[in-house]
Amino acid sequence: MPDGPLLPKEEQQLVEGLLAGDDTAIRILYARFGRPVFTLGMRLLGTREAAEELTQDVFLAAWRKAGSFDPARGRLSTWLMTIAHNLAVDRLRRETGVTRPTLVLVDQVPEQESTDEERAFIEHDAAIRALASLSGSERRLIARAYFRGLTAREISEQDHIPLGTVKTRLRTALIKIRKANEGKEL
Amino acid sequence: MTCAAVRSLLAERSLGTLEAEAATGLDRHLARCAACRKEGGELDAAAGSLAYVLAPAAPPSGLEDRVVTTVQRVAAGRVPAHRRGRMSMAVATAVAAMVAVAGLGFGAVMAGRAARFRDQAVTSSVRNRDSMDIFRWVLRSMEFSDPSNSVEMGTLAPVGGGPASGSALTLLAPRSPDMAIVTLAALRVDLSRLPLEVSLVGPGRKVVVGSISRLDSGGAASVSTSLNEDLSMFEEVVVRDAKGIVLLRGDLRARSLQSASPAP
Repeated sequence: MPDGPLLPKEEQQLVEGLLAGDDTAIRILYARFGRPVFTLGMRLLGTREAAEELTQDVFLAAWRKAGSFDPARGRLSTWLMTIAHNLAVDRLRRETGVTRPTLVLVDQVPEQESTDEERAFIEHDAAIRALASLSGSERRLIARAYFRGLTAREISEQDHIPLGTVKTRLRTALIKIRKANEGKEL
Repeated sequence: MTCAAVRSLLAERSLGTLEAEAATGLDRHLARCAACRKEGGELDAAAGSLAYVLAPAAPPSGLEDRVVTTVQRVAAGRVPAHRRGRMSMAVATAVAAMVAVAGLGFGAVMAGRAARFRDQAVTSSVRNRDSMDIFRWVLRSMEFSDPSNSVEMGTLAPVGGGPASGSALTLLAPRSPDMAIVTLAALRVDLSRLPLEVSLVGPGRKVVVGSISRLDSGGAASVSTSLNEDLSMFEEVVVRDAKGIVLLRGDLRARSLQSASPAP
């Protein structure tokens, strides 16, 4: 399969392969999504053990729900990363009181030299575009909601700003990210 | 729910932070409104790309093999393709049996037992145990042999005390929609508090299993639904009255069964 974006038919084939336990399909999926899933675990949960556990849980959950994946309703990357995010935030909320690591974003570290894969370039560029589309306050807002699992109500109460304002800002930020990467899906 | 109300919630839904209370009606609206569904899909895609803004961390070299082994191990017991149709029929039969048992006979059985037991706590315990037995009977009576399926069960307890009880079962099935069945018994509420809403609640998420507009003479009712949603994310069952007051709740993860080895 190509290194760049997959066609819906190819995504469906990969998910069917995952369901069947096909070695090649699982490895292709891992090659595409293993690193971002592991990264999510490392950056949110803070330890390699937790990140490894999350990665295995995500692929198991994806296998278990493979029948619900519909390429007509959304991209494979969205589906899989949503599973990963839900599992990670679920754990964050269960383990209250645990100190979490400071978030490190892609534009805060030097560009990696080993990006000889086309896909790595695509991911990196998309992430940079997404971050560049947001103001500083929008970045912080999205980080608290998406990476810390805070609800709009919790943010509203912490910051003493109206709930409606938080909701509007979250929506605006997501629309900006969407527009920044329009037509450049992973 | 209006499109404007739905769209004010879509960003939180995509970010996985939507409060369960706010999710009421959202999924139903999205199921029938293409415009909101489209916006929801776009926001989902934006949120899904956020994981990539984190500075990448390299997974250990052995993780790939462990993932492959883990998935292959659970996939190894899959049902042959020619049996999948029978499987879904069996699920449908099970649901029909469950609803029939709960709707026609369960309430009367429970009411009779209540008369024999003066101790309310014991009565509730018996009700819950009997409900679990019925669930197990349903699982055994169907051709429920796909090891990839699993079942989570839990009992519901009244929030404000009283004899009411309930049981819930979710069938988690990779090859067919997940399914939820909830039965209630000995629940006494004024007509003004109907309909009741039965929902599954997880971190930032909620799905409605069904609405109960009448209870039988034993205060019993049941609801069931199948959903194209991963019900494993939901941990709790909640029953609310028409005013939103919680009447019963229960932990779905109290009991978990693999379909290949139903509980004795």
